[in-house]
Amino acid sequence: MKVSKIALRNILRQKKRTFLLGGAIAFGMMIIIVINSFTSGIVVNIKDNFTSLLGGHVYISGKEITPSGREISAVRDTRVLKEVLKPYSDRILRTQVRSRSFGELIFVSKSTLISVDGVNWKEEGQLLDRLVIQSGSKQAAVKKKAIVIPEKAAKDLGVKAGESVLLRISTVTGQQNVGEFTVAAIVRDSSGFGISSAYADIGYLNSLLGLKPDEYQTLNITLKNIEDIDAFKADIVKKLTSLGKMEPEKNVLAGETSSSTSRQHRMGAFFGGGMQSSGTWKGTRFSVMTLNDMMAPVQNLVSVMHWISRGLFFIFILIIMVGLLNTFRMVLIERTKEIGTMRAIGMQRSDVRNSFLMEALYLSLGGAAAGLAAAFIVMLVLSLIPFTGDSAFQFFLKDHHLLLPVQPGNIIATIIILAGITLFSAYFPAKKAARLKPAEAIRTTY
Amino acid sequence: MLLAAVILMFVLLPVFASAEGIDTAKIMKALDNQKNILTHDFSSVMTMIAEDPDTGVEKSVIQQFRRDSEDKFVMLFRQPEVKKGQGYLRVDDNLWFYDPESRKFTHSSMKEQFGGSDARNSDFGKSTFSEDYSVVSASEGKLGSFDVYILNLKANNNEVTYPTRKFWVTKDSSLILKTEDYSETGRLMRTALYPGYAKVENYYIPSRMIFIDNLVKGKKTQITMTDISLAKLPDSVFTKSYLQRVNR
Repeated sequence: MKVSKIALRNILRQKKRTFLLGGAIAFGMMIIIVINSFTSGIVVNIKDNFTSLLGGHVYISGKEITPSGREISAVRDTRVLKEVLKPYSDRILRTQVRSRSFGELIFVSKSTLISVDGVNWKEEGQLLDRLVIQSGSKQAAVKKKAIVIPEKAAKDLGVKAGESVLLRISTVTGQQNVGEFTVAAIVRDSSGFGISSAYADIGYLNSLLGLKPDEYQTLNITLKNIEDIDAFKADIVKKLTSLGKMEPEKNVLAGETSSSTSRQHRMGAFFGGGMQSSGTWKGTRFSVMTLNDMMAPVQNLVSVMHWISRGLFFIFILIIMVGLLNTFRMVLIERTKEIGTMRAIGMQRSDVRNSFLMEALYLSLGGAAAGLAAAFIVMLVLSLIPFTGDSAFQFFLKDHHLLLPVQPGNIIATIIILAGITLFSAYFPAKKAARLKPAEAIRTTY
Repeated sequence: MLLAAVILMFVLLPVFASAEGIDTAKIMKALDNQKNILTHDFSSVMTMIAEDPDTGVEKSVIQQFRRDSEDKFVMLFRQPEVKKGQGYLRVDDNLWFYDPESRKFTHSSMKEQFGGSDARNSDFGKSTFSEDYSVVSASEGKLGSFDVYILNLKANNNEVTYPTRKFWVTKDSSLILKTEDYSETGRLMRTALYPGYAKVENYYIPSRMIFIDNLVKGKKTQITMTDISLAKLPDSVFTKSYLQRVNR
């Protein structure tokens, strides 16, 4: 008790030094908490935005082989997937169906390549809510021949909301087709992540693709628990495999690839339809992709940010360690006579050592508390700032705002690391102070 | 009134009779026979001028090799520099696109655009009009100074690029002068004009072709064929290794 009082008194005795050293610890603490919260918020927002834009967490696509050996993307017999998903209904929040085509959007003499998602607007209200409308209206988007296009496409074409555009696409079997749409809304672009899609009514898009209104290309599943994605995929793949309904792995022949430097060829392979198949089967075969598969590039980005924050933390720790080591060596010199006196009147060696360590611990805990408070203030201020500018940046945001969640586990770990580092730095000067002989210490003059 | 209707019927009858009397199956067969060079190999140099209001004008030079008797062709880009060495290889039902940068072949489709132009890969392959299309209506007419049959075609299968087409075919020599290609929804997508033919032995080869994009205003592609030859080509031309080899 006495030792802790002495340590506290020593801290308060050197206010300026305490303030600078504690301030450095607080600053380091604040930076690490804010960066970790920022990256964690980004991951949450991107996952949410991906979920809305892609229409779920797990995506099951169907393929058929035509009698002439062409591969087409279509789920015509919708009963198979219903049966497959039945046992897992307690893990599913909702399912949505989508069709997708890659085509050329045309306005008078201008054209741009774009992917168009056919959605059932009645069931995809969440997507409609997430889209940031630049011009036009959400109400107009739900009409049969309406199309919602990203602002980049609108800019390329020079088209405004309310005007008519043509969409040149291929049917699922590869025939040329063209549909006329009215631009219902122009929305903020998310092309920074390569998923800049236009949206149209699934019924009308199906008619252009050569599918019936109730047929689709992908079944999107939103799970109750986002952490269940990989396990759910494994279960579905296992079930489909046991039924012999999984699409076989592609055989990549020597010198052949599914990738190409030519955009048209690459896109044709995915969206053109009617490509020659490398396998043969009857009926529909399925493939399963998940949000986690799509998130891989984003996870890499987040991983880089985590490493940057760790690097910064490491540098701060080094600076703090050097600062503490020097400070406590100075403290040792300043207090040599005092230590000698206290030792002479009966203070034990361990008490001297502990008073140094307690002083360091108070310093780190005080600094961490101040840093935590500063971090909360910064996070609160940042989360209140509305970001309405850069369109790609919107993909990191929720309703134009940053999400900065508090992560208790991360905070506790940071405090423990800081305390440990501080104690380690103070330990050697503390040990040296404890070893001072009382008579010699009293005689010492600097 | 009734008399007028009867007179009108007799006036129009010869025209209808004439249209119904057209042997469309024979014309379709003749088109295939005319377009397919089954007794010889075929090679030519194609100069392609693609005009796009957005990207401007691009000139490409393509070496073409065909062996219609085996449904094979090779199209090799010589110009521009950025496409030099790219090529298409058609063997049986497969069409590969070769990219010399990655040295990889990718599967392509006869329905895709040829080299980003308004032409389709199917415009250069073996003709199977008589198998792929049925004539839903036929009439006689004039296109410029030429007497032509006007054929409205509907696809018999989904292996073709355009589900509906309209052909203007010369009466005397069964040469296609013009085609209109329609989408599944019935919209005119492309007009192709064949203003020039070159006679090589017994074959008439379209020496000039113009493909007009009817959806994008001002977009069109002109193809001119020169150095036409029916000389025998080595079998090795129609192989993947040929496309790889010519790029070394």
